[in-house]
Amino acid sequence: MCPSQRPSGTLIQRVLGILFVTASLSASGSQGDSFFDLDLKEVLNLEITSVSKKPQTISRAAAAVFVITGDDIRRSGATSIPDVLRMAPGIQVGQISNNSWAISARGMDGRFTNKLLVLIDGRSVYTPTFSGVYWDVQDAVLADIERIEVIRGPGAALWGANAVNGVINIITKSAAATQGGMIEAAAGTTEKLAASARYGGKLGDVGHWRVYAKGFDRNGSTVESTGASGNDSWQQQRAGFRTDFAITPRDAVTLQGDYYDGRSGESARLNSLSPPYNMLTGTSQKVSGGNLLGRWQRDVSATDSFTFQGYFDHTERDWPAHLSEVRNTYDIDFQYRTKRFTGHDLVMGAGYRVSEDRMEASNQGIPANTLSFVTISPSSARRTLYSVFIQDDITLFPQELVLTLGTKLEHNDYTGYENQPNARLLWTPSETSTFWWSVARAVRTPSRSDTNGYVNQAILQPGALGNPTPRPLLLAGGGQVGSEAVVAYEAGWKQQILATLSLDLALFHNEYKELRTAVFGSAVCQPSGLPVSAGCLFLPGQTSILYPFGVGNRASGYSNGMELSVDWRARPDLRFQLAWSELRMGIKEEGTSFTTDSEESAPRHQVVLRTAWNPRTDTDVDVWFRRVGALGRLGTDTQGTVSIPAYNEADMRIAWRPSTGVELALVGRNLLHKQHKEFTSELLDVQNMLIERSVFAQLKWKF
Amino acid sequence: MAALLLSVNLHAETIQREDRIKAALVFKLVKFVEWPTSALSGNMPLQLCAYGNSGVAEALAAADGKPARDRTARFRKLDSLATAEIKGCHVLFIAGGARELLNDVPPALRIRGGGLLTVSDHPEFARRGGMIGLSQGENKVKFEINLRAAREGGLEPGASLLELATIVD
Repeated sequence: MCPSQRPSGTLIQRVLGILFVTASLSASGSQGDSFFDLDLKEVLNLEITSVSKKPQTISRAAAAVFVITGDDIRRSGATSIPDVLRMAPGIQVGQISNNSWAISARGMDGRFTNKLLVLIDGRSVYTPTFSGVYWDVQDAVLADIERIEVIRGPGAALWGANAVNGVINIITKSAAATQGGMIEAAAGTTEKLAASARYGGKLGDVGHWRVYAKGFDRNGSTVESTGASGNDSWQQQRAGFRTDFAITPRDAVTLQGDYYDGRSGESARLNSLSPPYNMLTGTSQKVSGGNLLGRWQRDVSATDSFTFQGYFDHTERDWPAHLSEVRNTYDIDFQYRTKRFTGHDLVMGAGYRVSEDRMEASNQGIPANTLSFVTISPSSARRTLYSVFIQDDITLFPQELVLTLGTKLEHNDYTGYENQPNARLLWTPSETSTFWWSVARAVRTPSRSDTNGYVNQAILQPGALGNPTPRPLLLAGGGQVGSEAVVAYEAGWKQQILATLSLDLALFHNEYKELRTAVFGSAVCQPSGLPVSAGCLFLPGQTSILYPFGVGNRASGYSNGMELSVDWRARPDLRFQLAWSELRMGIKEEGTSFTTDSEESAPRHQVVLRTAWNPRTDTDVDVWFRRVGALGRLGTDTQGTVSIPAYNEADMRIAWRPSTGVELALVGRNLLHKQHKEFTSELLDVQNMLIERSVFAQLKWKF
Repeated sequence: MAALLLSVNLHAETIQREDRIKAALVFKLVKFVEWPTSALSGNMPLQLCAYGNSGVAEALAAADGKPARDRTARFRKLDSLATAEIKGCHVLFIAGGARELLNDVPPALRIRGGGLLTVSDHPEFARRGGMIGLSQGENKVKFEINLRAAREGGLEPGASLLELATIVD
C-alpha cells in the first residue's frame, strides 16, 4: 500500500475522530469522505447496502465545531493565524497592536485570556506562565495549513485543563500533500515584506518530507493618545520540517520541528526612579523558540489502533521591563482506540508533561533605573502534569443515536486531581440532519503568575502627597488560587437544507464557579509596614508603597449564547458564508473582590459575512465583512473605564492565476476606516493602539 | 411507525452510500492512469470535473484538496459539456441521467489525444464511446473500460486497473 494513501490522521485528528467523526460539513461545505482513503480494491469491495460501518458523511459532531479549511485561509488574505480565526463563529479576536491579540471563545477575552486551549499538530502552545497564548510566536506557512478546527465549549474530557471555553486545533498538511516547491512573497503597507518558501520530496518508497522557511517584517501601528508610531513592528524568521513515513503498512510515523526567532515591538509607559519617572517608551521583545515532535500510529488490528506521541518545546521571551522568560516543555501521550466491542468506539489514554521555567527581570534596551513591571516568585519552577482519560461512543440505535461518555482525570501541582467529565448525545434522524446535546465540566488550573508576584503599578513622584523621594507603588499578590470551573450545557442542530445550503446552530449556557479574584488591602510603607494613612511616607528610610492584594476564587458567573453559521453555494461560482454570534454574560463578585474575567470584554453581537466569487475559473474575488459589537469595561482599570465602540470592517482580496501554479493577489484589509481600535491590553502600561487600513500584493509560485 | 421511518432512512442512506462509493472509485482510478505530458505535467493540480445532477458529483466534491498522484486534486462542477467548459479537466464524471448521454457520447468528450478521462454511471457509457462506465453488480460497484476509447484519448490505463475491470472494446 502506498504510504501516501494511509489515513494520515494526527493524534488530534484521531481523537477528534472519536468525538466528531468527520470535519463539520456545514462548516467546510464539503464532505470529508473516508472512502477516499481506501485502496481501489477496498473501494470495489465496499458493499453498497452495508450499514455495519459507521457512516462518515454529514457532520456527526456532538459539539460546536467550525472548520476553517486551507482554501478558506488562502481566500481570506490573512497573514497571521489570529486574523484567520476571525471567520469562526463564537470566537472573539481583538487586535491590540500589530503583534498582539486578545482571542477567546465565548467571552472573557483579553491579552491574557486563560480559558482557551490552542494546539498546533498536537502540540499545546498555551503557556503555563499565564495559561494563555503568546500569539506573536504561533505561526506556520499558512498555505501548509490543512485546516483549523475551532471547537467552542469545553473540550477538557479529551484535551484536559484550560479547554474551558474552547479548543483551537491547527493541523498542517501531511508531507505527501506538500510535494514540490512553493514560493510566496508579499509586500505592502502594514505588511512591509513577507516571504515563504517550501519544498517537499519523497523519502524513498516509504514516505515524504518537506522543509520550509518563512520571514516577515510588519510595520507598526499608531498610539491612540499621541498619534505617534506605536513601535509595535514585528519581525520574525522561522524554519522547519515535517516528514511522514510508513515503515510497514500498519505503522505511520510523523516527525516534525520548527525553529523561530524575532522581535515584537510595543509602546509602554515605563516607570523609572529618575526623572521624568514615567515615560512612553518603545520597547522590543526578543522572542525565540523551537520544537520537535514525533508521533507513531499503529493499526494493531482491523478494530484497534494506538498512537504514541512525544514532543519537546523550548521558548524564550525577553520582554523589556516586564519579564525575561525561558521555558522547556516535555510531553508524552499515549492513546489506544478500539472498536472490538460491537456498538462501542472506545478510546483511552494517558499523558505526562513537565514544564520548566526561569522568569527574571529584563533590562534589555531600556534606561537604567527603570522599574521592572512584574516580578514572579519563585523565579524558576518545574511543574508536572499527568492525566488519564477514557471516552466511549455508545451506539444506542445504529445510524441514529450515539451517546458519548468520557472523562479526564488530571493531576497538577497546584490543585491536585481534577475530574473533567462530559456526556454527549448525538441524534441523526437522517443523512442531512444532526441534533446534539452535551453537558460537560472543565477547569482552568492556576498558572505560574496566579500565585505569587509583584506588579509595579505606578510611581509616586517626589512632591506628590508631600513625599520627598520617588517611590514605587507595588501590588503584592499573595494567597491561594484554586481552579476555576465551568459546567457547560450545550445543544446544536446541523442541517443540510439543500445540496448547496447548510446551517449549523449551537446554543449554550455556561455556569462559572470560583473564578479567580483579587481583593486589595490597605497601602503600607516598605520596609516599615506602617499604613500610608498613618503618615509613614515621612518616616526616613521608606523605599516603596505596597498594596497587598489577596488572590482567591470569589466570583461566579454565567453566559448564554448562540452561534449560527450558514454556508450557501448560491451558484457554482458564488458562495456566501455567514457566522453570527450572540453572547450575554453576568459576573458576580463577592464583596470587594474583583475578577479580570469581565463580562464586557467580548461583544454581545458579532457578524461575519464572507463572499467568495469566481467570475472566471482563474480569478477569485473575495469580500469579507465583519461587525463587532461594543466592548465595555476592559480589565480592571485604575485610570477609568476603557471601552471600545462597535465597529464594521471589511477585507477584500482579488487573485488571478495567469498560468498553472502562479497566483497573483491584491489584498486590502480594514478597508472601511483609516484606523480603528479593537482591543486594549489589560496591562495598564501598554498603550492603546489604532489598527490601520492596509494593502499588500502577493505572488505565489508552485513548481 | 418507527420502523417505517427507519426503512425510509435506510433507503436514503443506501442511495448516498452508492454514490459515495462511486465517487471514491472515480478518485481512485486516477492513480492507475497515465496522462500525456501535454495534459498533465509539472506540479499542475489534477482537475476533477463533474457534470449533471447526481450524488456522485456531490460526493466527488469532497476530493478537492486531497493528494492524488503527488499532486493536489481540484474539483469543479461543469455547467455544460461545451469544449470551453471542459478545458483543463483531467477527469470528467458525467451523471448517468444527463440528457447528453441519451445517444452516443458527444464528440467534445472524444478528442483524440485530449487527455480527458471520461467516466459515467450510464449503463451503456463504455460501449458507446466513453472510457469508463460504472455499474452495479452483486451489491458492489464495478466498472468497465473501453480501452480503445481511452488510448485514442491519449490515456494509458495501468495493467492493475485492467485486471479489475471488464474490458468492453
